[in-house]
Amino acid sequence: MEKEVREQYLKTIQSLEEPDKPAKTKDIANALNLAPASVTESLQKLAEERYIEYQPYHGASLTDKGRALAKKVSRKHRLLERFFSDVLKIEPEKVHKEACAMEHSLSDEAEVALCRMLNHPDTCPDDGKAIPPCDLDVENCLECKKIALDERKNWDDHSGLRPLTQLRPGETGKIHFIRGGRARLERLNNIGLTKNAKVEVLRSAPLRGPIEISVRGCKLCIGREIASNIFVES
Amino acid sequence: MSLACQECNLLRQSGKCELEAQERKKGTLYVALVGNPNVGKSVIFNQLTGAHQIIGNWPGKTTGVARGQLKFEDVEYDIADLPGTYSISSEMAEEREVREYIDRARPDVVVNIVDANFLERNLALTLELITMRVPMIVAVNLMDQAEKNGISIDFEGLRDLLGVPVIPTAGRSGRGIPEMLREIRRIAGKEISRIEKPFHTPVIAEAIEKVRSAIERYFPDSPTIWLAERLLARDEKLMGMLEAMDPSLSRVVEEQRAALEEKFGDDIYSILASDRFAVASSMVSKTVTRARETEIPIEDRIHNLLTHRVYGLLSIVVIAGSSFLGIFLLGDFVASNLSAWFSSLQPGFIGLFSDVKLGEFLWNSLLGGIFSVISIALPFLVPLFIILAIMEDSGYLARVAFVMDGALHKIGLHGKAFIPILLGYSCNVPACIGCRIMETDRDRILSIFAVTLIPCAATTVVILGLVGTFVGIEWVVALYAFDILLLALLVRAASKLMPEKSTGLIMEMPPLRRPSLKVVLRQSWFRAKDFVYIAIPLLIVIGVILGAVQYFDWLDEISDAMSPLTVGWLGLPAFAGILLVFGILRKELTLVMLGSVAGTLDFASVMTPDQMIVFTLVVMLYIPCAATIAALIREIGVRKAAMITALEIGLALLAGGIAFRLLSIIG
Repeated sequence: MEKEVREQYLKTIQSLEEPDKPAKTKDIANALNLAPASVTESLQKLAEERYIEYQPYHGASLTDKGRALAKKVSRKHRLLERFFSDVLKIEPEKVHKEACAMEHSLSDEAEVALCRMLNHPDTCPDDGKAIPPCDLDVENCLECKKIALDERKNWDDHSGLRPLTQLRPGETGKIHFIRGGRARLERLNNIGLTKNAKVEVLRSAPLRGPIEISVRGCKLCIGREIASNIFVES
Repeated sequence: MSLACQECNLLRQSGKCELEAQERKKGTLYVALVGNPNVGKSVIFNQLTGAHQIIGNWPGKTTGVARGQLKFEDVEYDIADLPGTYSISSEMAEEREVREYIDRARPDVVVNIVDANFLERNLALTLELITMRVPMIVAVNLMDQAEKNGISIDFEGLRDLLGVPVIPTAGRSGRGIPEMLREIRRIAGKEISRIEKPFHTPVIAEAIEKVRSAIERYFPDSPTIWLAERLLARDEKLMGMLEAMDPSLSRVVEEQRAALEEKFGDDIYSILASDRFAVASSMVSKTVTRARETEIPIEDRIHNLLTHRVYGLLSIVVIAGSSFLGIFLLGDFVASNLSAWFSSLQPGFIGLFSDVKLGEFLWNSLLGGIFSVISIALPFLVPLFIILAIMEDSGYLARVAFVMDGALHKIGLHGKAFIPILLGYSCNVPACIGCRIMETDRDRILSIFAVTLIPCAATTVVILGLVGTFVGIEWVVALYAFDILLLALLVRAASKLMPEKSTGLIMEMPPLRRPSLKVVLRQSWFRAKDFVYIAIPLLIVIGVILGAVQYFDWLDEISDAMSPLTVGWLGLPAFAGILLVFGILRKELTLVMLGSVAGTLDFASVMTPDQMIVFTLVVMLYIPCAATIAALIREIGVRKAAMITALEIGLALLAGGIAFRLLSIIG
């Protein structure tokens, strides 16, 4: 299977699946504008390559391997969007298409360089979605700034790292880093959301609303956009 | 010399420190209450100042400091209730305000009120406050709740760890308050924490100590540990001062900061905050014991229901709907009886004057305003204020904000805005004031704008009385639906025009509790008083103007002058002009006066159904009423109030004109 096709599939499944709810074949076919029959075939291939788990009639969900790749692609996609809109000043409506075309050919090295040049952005320009964290073995963006490109550290994957929004109610995690401007960081630090603090997700509100968490013995509500920038280790 | 005054000197800013000028009465002890939001500071403040309470604003500040006085065992106390804050290190408005107040106004004692139930988070602020080196007491509040939750605290142990007096209190019942006042008197102006090392783990404490010893001689009589920590945390103003004084000093700070950031791989602010929490956490583990919970308390079950994805939404509909209906029915009952009673006084009053016209003028202008506040507004407002206070005090509003946050994001706001918007259906005035719960000016202005687009109880009277009675209930529903749609579109558009993004929701979920009758009544009383103070003078002024218009028989002239707009553009009868003018005062007047202007109560004989719909649409949108405009001016200033008013007049005329043309095409 071609790299571009594979990545396109993984990205689509990632956007459709929810915790415990695989992406339906019909929805994937709709999103990619393909016939369900050919989608089924490709999904079987991806399952063979262990990128996804696929059960006919039930749907497809990403494996850890598939998720890592999908995350990488959406990260590249969103970084490219930022680059097109912030640096090249291309109109916001057009950046998505441009990025879609280039995300599959951007090398990992160029991705890191792009992230540094853009000063470690946290959201993409067209829909404000969070850019997934990079998989460099660095503690946070600040540290990344200090590491020169030539002395590349090991590129191990931080596979245990997830934004708070991806934890199910009842799951706990330890805060690894928080992304965002200083003002937000201070606000979160001050109420006890600091590095290494233990967080339990209690519930999430309807309509993509906030999540309720418990930290240092008190209950807090955190808007979804903010929560998606708090990364925890389970 | 305080730090702030050194700043003035060093930066060569002229003029004297405005805060030093605060008058101090000899023998009075000046006390500042500081603590996290929602730890019962204001409850203690009210307990302390009681009936002598004078709530005034401290000059020139955004959020304001409430002040009050009391006398206890022959000593005068002046208490300042500072805004709630989680920290005092950042540049956020309330943090800077608290920091500067302590530094400049130099209270004799700072009382740090902490919540016994969440001691770990509360102590992080305590640790910062102690390093400011002011006489200080820690009041461990809400002890009644903590005991119920099975929490017991070793106060002696905590005192030894912090080096300042620690007193258990329970603000609601007044427990511990006399002991607190005696302790204030004992340490006032002299006793500072015995602990003179940074509250940090060794590596960080060492870095702070290095900076402290380097800057020590430049800042005599200043809390140098506090300064060192702030310098490390990259306080730009202080760093600038240091750079100007001796560049080698700022290099010391930068070296230490870089070393810490390198070692911990994090931003320095996070490192320091995180470490403070670690220290607080270890203090808590040494002094607090928690009994094992055996069963899920009833409060938690209610909380689970209220924040549930489905039942949460349902409970909002049920609770908001029944409150609205209850307020409406009760208010309507009281209002109609009171109005009838006031009207029965009218002939007697006018009879007092030989000139009937003069009597009418005085009745309409001077007494009309006062009576309308008492008979129309207060019957709706008082029950509304009581229900609001119950929702606030019980912690219910926070649950509403949680559930509604997602929907409000779609129009550029966040969950808390739902609270004032809901209140707007009853009366726009308290709803505008209620928008103060929003954190930033952007979110506050946007929610105020949303509130002014909500048809209030008075508008509802017109909608039901005219369209509901003479056209049909389906048009009433259509008008309400159109209004919500318009609100969503306009607020969304306005949010795009605002430069910043919404801050997003970061809110502490307060524990649910049974509301206290005393707090509820007190809160409602202050709100009602606040409303009366704005509304009555304004209504009298407008009443006099409108009375004069009537007295000199200018009614027809005004209607004629407005006819190009009312007749030409909106297709309404000419008398609509004067109704719309009177409607500025109170929207239901447009309906009340229709009878006398048209000379009949059968409105169907003077207006076609289309005209009624257009007229009601214009009344619904055209202007926030006079009292709302006054509230707007108070809350967001003349300029923005004028902008909103002008926008809504334009909008109403536009919508009315389009509706007139559409309706005549449909036939």
